[in-house]
Amino acid sequence: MRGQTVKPFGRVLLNLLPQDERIVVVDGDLSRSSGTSAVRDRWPERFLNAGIAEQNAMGLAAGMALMGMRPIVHTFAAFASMRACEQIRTSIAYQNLNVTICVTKGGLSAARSGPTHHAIEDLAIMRAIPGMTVVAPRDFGELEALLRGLIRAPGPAYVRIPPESEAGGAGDAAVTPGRGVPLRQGTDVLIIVTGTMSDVALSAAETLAARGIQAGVLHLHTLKPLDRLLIEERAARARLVVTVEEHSIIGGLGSAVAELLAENSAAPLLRVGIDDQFCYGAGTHREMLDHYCVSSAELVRRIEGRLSVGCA
Amino acid sequence: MSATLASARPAVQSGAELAATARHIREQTLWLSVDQPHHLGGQLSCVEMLVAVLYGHAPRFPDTRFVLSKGHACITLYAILADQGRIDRADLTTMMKFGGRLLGHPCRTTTPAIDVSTGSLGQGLSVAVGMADAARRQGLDTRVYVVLGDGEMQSGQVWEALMFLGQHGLDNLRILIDSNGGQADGAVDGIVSLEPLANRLESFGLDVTECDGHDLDALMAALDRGRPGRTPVTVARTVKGKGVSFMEGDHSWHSGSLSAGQLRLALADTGCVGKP
Repeated sequence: MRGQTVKPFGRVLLNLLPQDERIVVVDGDLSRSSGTSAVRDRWPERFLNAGIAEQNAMGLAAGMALMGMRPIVHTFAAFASMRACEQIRTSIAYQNLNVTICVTKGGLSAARSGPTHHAIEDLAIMRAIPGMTVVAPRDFGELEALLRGLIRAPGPAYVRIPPESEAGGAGDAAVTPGRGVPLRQGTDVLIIVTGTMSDVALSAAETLAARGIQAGVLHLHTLKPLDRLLIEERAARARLVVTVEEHSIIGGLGSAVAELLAENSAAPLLRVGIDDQFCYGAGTHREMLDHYCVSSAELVRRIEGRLSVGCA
Repeated sequence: MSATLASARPAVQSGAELAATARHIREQTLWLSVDQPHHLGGQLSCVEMLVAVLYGHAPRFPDTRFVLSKGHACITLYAILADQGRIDRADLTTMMKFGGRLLGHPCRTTTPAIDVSTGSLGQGLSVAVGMADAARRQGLDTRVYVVLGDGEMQSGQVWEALMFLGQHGLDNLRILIDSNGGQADGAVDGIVSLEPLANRLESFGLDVTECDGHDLDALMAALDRGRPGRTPVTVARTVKGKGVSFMEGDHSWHSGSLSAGQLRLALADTGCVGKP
């Protein structure tokens, strides 16, 4: 074998597994891609390769959880959330089992692999399943902190693994599932982000500040359960609330925030995400995001445009 | 579990005792099916299978799990759980009624005596395999039993799980297939045939036997089989509506409820005297 370095998700798992002997890792023939192969190499008895059979993999994980284990299942987001959706819903969530479904290639991060491998619907699908916790951390430090909490909590969770470019981030003990993380203060505009979009929002906020508009940035690594109190408190002071997500405009962060604010706030809302379409273009993840989701410059333009047509 | 099973462990039955129990469970299943629109044909085809596992085989072992993958046969299972004292007999009177705890498919959330919630066909085997794998992984002496319908074997997920078993050979698992030859829309062979089922299963590396699924001795012998590193599968050839003359061979009894008059006729067939 050529020299192999442990991938970021593999490193997180190597840190996590010694904490709880009940954790077992199940992968669907994507262990080299995801880095779960590090677990196979270190503790082969705590690793299971289910092959390209995601429905069976979810059922296996349910059975393992019923026997007191704490399975972490990995596959690509599109295959977990869509091919194995009913197994996640019925074999796992219906029985409220402690299975942590970790997915790579969320959103457009499979980029040039094309729409078969994109997952711009996964958060919407998972959010609709009763009892499912849905998280999309911004980096691997946050991922590790969230997984520590999720492994201990009863019930299932769906976790979008960040792209490997986000390998940094300290495992902040203050990161807790369900709690929003304010990244920047500013009361004119509240930009709410999840997953990969915090850098785009922070960059846009810098540009806006130079033009006299103070934008706060609130990162929600947990889409469900939503940090309602924090969102309502911040939204109450803002002239405009903006959501930014690497996901379809239908059913994800924007929808979750809209559902909340429609019932509890008068704040105008601008939802930014991927339009209701398949993203046919090929290229890098960044190119795909800029084109199909939003770039920092485009985000500034859309926020200024919305403010100019009048937000109280 | 099985706190439930351990606390009310039934005595191990064999021979004539099993036969008497099977007759009693068939009568209970009929009784519970009066004015209860459900899947009567497939409840009656698996009576002996469930009795063999839950009275004959599982009680011999300290720790067991039972998965009824064909969850629509839950009335038979409820009759057994009540008979064994693992659910409250009073719950039978509110079965599938609003506020009741016995749902139209087995639910471990409302019925703790149920090991695995089932109902969506094709999913139970994978869960059973996961349990058997987890037991082996943790060094537990747990035996897992799963009963599948033949119709649900049209699901691809079942074959994913079987292929996995061919690779991993879990010998702490027993698979029984209720091969009654029928499914909702008619004969399995007239929709998407599974045959030659035994050959197909053997080609997956499983330890396959076929038997008369209403012959308790044959079922017990099939459950006793075991080779290290191979998963035993029993293709139990059964009859939908078994034991009731006007149901056997009549596909319309796949589902539907029984009237009080039909119950009397059915019980006459089973040789029941008085209230079962």
